[in-house]
Amino acid sequence: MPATFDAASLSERKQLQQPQAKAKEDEVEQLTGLPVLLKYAILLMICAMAFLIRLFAVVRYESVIHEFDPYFNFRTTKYLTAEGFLDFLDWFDDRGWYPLGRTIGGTIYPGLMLTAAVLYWLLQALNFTVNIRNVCVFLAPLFAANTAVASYLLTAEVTGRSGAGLLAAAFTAIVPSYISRSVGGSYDNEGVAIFALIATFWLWVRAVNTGSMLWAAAAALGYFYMVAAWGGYVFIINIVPIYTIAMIVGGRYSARLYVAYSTFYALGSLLAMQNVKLPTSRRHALHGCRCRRHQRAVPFVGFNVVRQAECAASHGVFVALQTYALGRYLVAAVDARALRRLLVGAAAALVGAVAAALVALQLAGRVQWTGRSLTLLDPTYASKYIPIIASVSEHQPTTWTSFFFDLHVLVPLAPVGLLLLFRRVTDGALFVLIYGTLSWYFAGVMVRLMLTLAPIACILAAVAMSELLHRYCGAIAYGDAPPPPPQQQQQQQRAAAAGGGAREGGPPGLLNQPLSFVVVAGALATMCLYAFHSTYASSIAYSNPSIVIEQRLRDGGRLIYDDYREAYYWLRHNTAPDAKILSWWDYGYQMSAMSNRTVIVDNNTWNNTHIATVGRALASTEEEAYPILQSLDVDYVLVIFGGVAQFPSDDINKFLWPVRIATGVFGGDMPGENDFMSATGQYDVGEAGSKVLHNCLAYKLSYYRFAELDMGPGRGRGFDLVRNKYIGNKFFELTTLEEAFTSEHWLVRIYRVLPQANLEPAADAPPLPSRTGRANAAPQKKAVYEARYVGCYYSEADFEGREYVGGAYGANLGLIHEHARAFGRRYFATARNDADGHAFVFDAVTSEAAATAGGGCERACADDAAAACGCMDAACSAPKPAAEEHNRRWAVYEVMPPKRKAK
Amino acid sequence: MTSAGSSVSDIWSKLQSHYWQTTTQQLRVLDSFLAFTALTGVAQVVYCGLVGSFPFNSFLAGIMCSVGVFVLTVSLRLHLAPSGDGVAALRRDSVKNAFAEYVFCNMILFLAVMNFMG
Repeated sequence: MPATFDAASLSERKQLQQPQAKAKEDEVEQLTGLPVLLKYAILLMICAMAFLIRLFAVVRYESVIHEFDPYFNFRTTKYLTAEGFLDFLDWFDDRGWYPLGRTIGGTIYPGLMLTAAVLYWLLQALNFTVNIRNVCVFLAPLFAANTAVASYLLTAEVTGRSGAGLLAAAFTAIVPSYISRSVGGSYDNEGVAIFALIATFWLWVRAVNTGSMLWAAAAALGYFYMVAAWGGYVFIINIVPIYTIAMIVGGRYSARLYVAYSTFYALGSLLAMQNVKLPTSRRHALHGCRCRRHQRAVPFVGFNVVRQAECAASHGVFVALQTYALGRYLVAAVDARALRRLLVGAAAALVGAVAAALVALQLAGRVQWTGRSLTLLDPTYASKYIPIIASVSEHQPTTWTSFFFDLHVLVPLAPVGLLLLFRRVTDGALFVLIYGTLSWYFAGVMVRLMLTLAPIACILAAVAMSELLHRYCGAIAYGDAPPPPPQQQQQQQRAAAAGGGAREGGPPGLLNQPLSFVVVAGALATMCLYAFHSTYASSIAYSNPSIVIEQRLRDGGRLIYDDYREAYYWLRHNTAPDAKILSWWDYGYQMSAMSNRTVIVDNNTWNNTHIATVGRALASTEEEAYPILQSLDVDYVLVIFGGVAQFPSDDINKFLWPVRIATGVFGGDMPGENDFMSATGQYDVGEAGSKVLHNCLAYKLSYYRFAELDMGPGRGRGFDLVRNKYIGNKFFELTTLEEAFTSEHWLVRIYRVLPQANLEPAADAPPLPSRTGRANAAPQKKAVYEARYVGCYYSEADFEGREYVGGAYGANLGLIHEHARAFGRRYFATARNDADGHAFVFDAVTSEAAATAGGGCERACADDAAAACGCMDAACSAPKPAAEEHNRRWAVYEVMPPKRKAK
Repeated sequence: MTSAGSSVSDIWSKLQSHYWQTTTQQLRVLDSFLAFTALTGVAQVVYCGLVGSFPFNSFLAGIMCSVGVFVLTVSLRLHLAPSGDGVAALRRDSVKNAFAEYVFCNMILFLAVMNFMG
């Protein structure tokens, strides 16, 4: 391979510089014999190292899938291998997002699963009976080895030195940032996507260097794979056009560039349209349900490439490149100065028109930015507008310590590499420069994007290190005055002629042998440090499966908490197969994979409203949460509690996020973030904390009967080990839920939602004797309310002192009734749409006579077919009254005092 | 105004004479194919303007097919053309290679178009 990359770096010089620069050609090394063998042997060892350094978790714990998202990927892969590809595409999953469900096939990046499945089928065909779980566990380390090879190829292509390539491969193989996402068991998109990224960039640089359609097509195929694997494909489709523009502006346009970009664009964007799926579903986070209908209209076809603003640059650059190429042809053919001006004007007008059209489309809402991309351009965007994106820890801005921890020695070395490449810019070097600069910015915005920075930082550092070793090892080998290679001689002559002095070779006095030894030894020591640091980071920081929690004891021993799996398996074996389990979304994937039960929300955060509803349930008091739990058919509620096991990221510590996300949707309808703070503005679970916090569902479920537990000498009862506080609300009873299961170290607590009939027994039904045995009784999910139907109104102006509540309240009599009673309002009115509607609570009706019978008022409620809930718009059978803005029929009720109190 | 008009016609005649003088028979055939491809693209845009782009995926596939074939053919032309056209000649030794690459890229293109057309 390395013997052929010369053609490129040379021919472009041809057009730019004088023929004497041709001497550069000789710089490309020609290896033969033993060095070639040695090179491949080293590369092989690097691959082995890349694989092995990621196996700490497998050796220490077991071959198990880690974290959260990998569990979903694992589950889908199992489905794929069991059911085949077509069924996988058509898969509608009813185990998540109850009651909405989710079309899996159309809303995920299938690249990872397909890779694993193909590998699995291949191994099976070869009679290696490997478990699919093991394929998934070892896939990421395997691809890390591939990435090392890819970065070798890219570096060798750019620098023309296989030494630099090997260094880059070695750096990449063990860079902690990449290890963090690709340890054994971390079965996530990034594992294969980083390989796809680097491979695509290598193919692209090669395409530019050779001007071959074949390499450009290969780059397009690499891009296709990337699109299938990870949302980071946006990175490629923007870097490549930016690079192309930089080449044109920098006067480096060549036929090779034209061929490479045109072919890449034409094939790449067409291929990408075959399977861009996820962005539509991700966009739901912004627009709620509205987009979903739109997505259903075009299943499995990604028009996003056309519609998304992220891809606009590629279209614009394509047009610009065609125009520029045409212009160049004309200038060459006609050679008229006037023409040149004409052409420049025309090109500027064209580019301006395209830009204006894009801006217009953007303003008209025809093209859309995804929230994450906007976060990249404006780092404060997410925290201002989309709490669901801001709440994810990997979307936070990067701190400088994590730069150093994840890149270590690469941080100081990479800028040196940049500098060296600047001094001798070639087409390939320019690409690396642009990639390096941009990814450095992106990495600063989002922690997650450290991952795209890591490979390029390795490459740049390798360029620097290679240059350093090259120079000083040369000095050691040849003594004080190394015989410069022929082209360097020429350069020196030229430089001397220009009066610049012999800077290229460095001041001769500095290159004496002892000093060279010191420098080389220092470089080697630095690299050893880097290797030690990487191993340390891999072992300590990144090999934590997070499904098994490890605690270091004071004597240095390890304590393993296996509570998650204990609880998930309890659910699997002790609950009804169709049980619905509510928890905060973090645990959805694990639960559906390990418990095989239906969950309300999971880690695919596609529906903000649904997540907000769950957040609201957790943030409400037990009584207020109950109707929400009922409306979602919840059978069990699961909370993570770390107060005993000293596990800091439990639901109480995460609790402000559910509150923020819920208030983002429900607004002033529920207690806000400040209501959960103590008088001094602290988030405090102790005595001084807010009463709202002490009575909310998440708090109660976490601390139920906690005060009965003695936490050891000096602490006594009710002492929370994570927050180091005595809890504020110690003794309370649960009325609508009962404890079903608590894991060994209290890490997972599961509660059963009691059926409603027991809460408010009907007057004629005998009250149930006790709580025991109720679990087996079939839940009676009929809404309970004591309200008198007043009449049917068409005008909301008749409701005195009205206060609007919408959403699910407008369709569920139980909910709105509960709401009206909780806020002490006498009347309430609903106009139902489908699953939601409009609703008011108010104090008095101004006119009795305004009622008009019928016309749609009699439409049933969502939760009770026997009661009327009104109608809106087209659902109303009667025409719109002339004075009204909307056609609505309000079913008005008067709240009656609860019967229980009457007894 | 008149001077600008004359310079445009001037340019046009210069361009024509340059083209007929320097372009080989082989490249002229290729150019006529390019013109045909451009025509198919224009026809689709006109159709879209008159009738609408209803099966959007088909429309997109058609347009992308025209554009793709066009740029691939231009790329092939760059491989075959002599170096006098303002761009450095590509690897002159490999006309056969260039054609094989062209065929390969078209295969990918048409596979994707067929799949996308629906």
